[in-house]
Amino acid sequence: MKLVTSKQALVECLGIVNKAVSSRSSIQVLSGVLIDARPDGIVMSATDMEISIKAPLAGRVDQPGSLVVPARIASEIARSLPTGEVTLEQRAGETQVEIRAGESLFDLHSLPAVDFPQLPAPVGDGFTVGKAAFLETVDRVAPSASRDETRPVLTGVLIHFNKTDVRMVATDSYRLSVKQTPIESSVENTLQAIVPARTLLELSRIASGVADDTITIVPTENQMLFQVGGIYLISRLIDGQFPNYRQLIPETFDYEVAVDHDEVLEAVRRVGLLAQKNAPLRLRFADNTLAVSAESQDVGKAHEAMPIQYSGDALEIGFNPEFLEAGIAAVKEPTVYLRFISPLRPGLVKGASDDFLYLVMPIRLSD
Amino acid sequence: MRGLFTDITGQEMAVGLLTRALEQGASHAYLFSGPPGVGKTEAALAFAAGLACPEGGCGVCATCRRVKEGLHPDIEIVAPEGNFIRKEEITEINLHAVYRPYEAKAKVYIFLEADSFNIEAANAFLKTLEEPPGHVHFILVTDRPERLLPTIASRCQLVTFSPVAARAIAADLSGRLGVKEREAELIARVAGGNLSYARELATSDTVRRQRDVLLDLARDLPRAGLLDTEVALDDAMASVESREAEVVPEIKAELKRALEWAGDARTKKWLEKRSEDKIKRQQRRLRTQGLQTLTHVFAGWYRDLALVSAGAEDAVLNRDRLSELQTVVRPGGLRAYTDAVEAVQKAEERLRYNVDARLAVGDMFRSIKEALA
Repeated sequence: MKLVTSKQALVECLGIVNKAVSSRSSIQVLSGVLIDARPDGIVMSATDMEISIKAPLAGRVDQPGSLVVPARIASEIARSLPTGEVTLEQRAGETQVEIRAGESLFDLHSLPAVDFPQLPAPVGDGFTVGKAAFLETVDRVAPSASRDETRPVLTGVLIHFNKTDVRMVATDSYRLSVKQTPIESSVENTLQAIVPARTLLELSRIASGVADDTITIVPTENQMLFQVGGIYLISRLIDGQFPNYRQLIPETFDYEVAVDHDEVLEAVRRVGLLAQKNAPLRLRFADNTLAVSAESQDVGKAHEAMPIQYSGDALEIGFNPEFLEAGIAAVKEPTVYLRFISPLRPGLVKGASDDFLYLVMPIRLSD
Repeated sequence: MRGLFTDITGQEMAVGLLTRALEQGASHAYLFSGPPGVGKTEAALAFAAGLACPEGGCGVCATCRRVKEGLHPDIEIVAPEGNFIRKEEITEINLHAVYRPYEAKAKVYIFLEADSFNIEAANAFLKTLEEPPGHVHFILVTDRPERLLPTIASRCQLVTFSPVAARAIAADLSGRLGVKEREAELIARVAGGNLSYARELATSDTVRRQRDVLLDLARDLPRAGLLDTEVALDDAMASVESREAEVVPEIKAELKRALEWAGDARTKKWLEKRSEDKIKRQQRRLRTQGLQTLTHVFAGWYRDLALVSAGAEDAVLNRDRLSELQTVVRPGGLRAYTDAVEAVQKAEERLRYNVDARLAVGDMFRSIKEALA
């Protein structure tokens, strides 16, 4: 195998596929990147069995061939190379691959491509969705998904496609995000799937660096392929019953408060610094004032007040500061609406319309 | 399917059963049980290849090859961490088993030393073992089936591997390793059905020397004084442990290669831990094998003496030592020699459970001396 590419292209391509490289596998070849140089182009692939990524590498193939290089070292080498042309060459019968750039020369152990797993190749009719709106929805919803693998369903995002809208839902059982976004899509009828949140965040990272305006999606029974700008991301889907989120969102709330988005976000961030060791962040609504306070034993306390429109009974409710902050941050509007029923019922964070809802469980306050 | 089990020697029953299973539809759980060194693990990998292979077990395609080499992502090999297969490992398997195989036709979990489930792990495993998703198969491999919880064993189809017949071993040695016929026959007799021990006897000077040391000890034991018996015990135990260092360099080299490919510091630590476990596991295996060799050689020697004393020289195992046997044999000692063999068998029985090896062997020495006094 012999191919000529540029440092920049190599770094970018490895950066894309690297996120699918298996970090903890007893099979060595899975911590590598497959480089497949064919007469019609070069493709790099990596997989950790959950996500597989295939990305084209710009360059010239002098002699077709394929091999697997260790992902971590290859990336470190690529980044350290001088700018300009890079040659990768493996001579027939050798296991080493030679990486040349300018005056630098690396000889790297490689593994045979035949040891690399066969990447899944979902086939079938795909459909397209608008990229910008899709990614925005991902970025606002996916962070609410759980990282606890003991409940696989909650590590995923429930996505519902129809011709005019995409709806995404994620919850880790402490908070719940729902976003409905108008997106032109060529999907037939409707489609629903639970996609690992990690996949979607990876897709967002990859796709935001690509010029294409649309993402092509090919669903199969247990895999989903996303294609954008020549890059293929194939993900396992999650089996199981997603919680019925509609049941979780109360139909009516007793209190609603409108607050300035940036002001409340920053107050929560600042005061939240002193809500350590699981201490709650307290919100107290009374007499046209919102008081945000927190106290951690052996650390200290913080307090901040801001004027609001509120004339009801005094209400004090506690939250996990990170969860509240994430919810407010996900509302991308000048005014945030906070809705409550009581200190022990979930609170709702939203913008002016109902297209994005963020439900968050309170923490019981001890006094 | 022909090619799949060609490396498995002298296990016609087991291979027949597995071949039929591949043709007619495999059960979801198997227990591969039999003495050490007869090809259970190789058979497990070959069977897994048959389950995973798109052709039903051609033995030659990329899938079959990678499974047999332990490189296939859908075939997971589970081995004890430290001394046990632990609950954390099983919890992970319970979670991941539900996912479809990545590329193969089936997903196979092979448990080595399957008798080392601790009780929490065993209980966590029961439900998945009984009703795994349709694409999952479990293969439990053990040479100590009596240690398995009955609740686990009863959920598996039993595949019994037997000691390999001497003729099959001899044929294997001359066919595969080019050992001359006479020597192959001698080794096959001496190895007592343990194919991998036979192969080691044929290829390793250390292993041959180990046998010689043990035979000398067995020969001299009846005449040894109290002090000499202690020395003999030291020598015997040293021979049992002599090979434990052998495995270290190879596994260390393997770790070094793996570390070069590893991503972050956490992965490296994990790999180091795994490598340590692997060393421990191999050493445990060698130690068990060493003790088995010890009892096997001792039993063989006194059995041979019994035969010689009864005038049945043709049947002795240690033919290369026939003249020595004839020199030391006591006429009319048949009864005493069979008592000595029984003493060895008793020790063998004890060693199957976790008794202190040195105590068991020391007791065996005393009983042999009493029998032959």
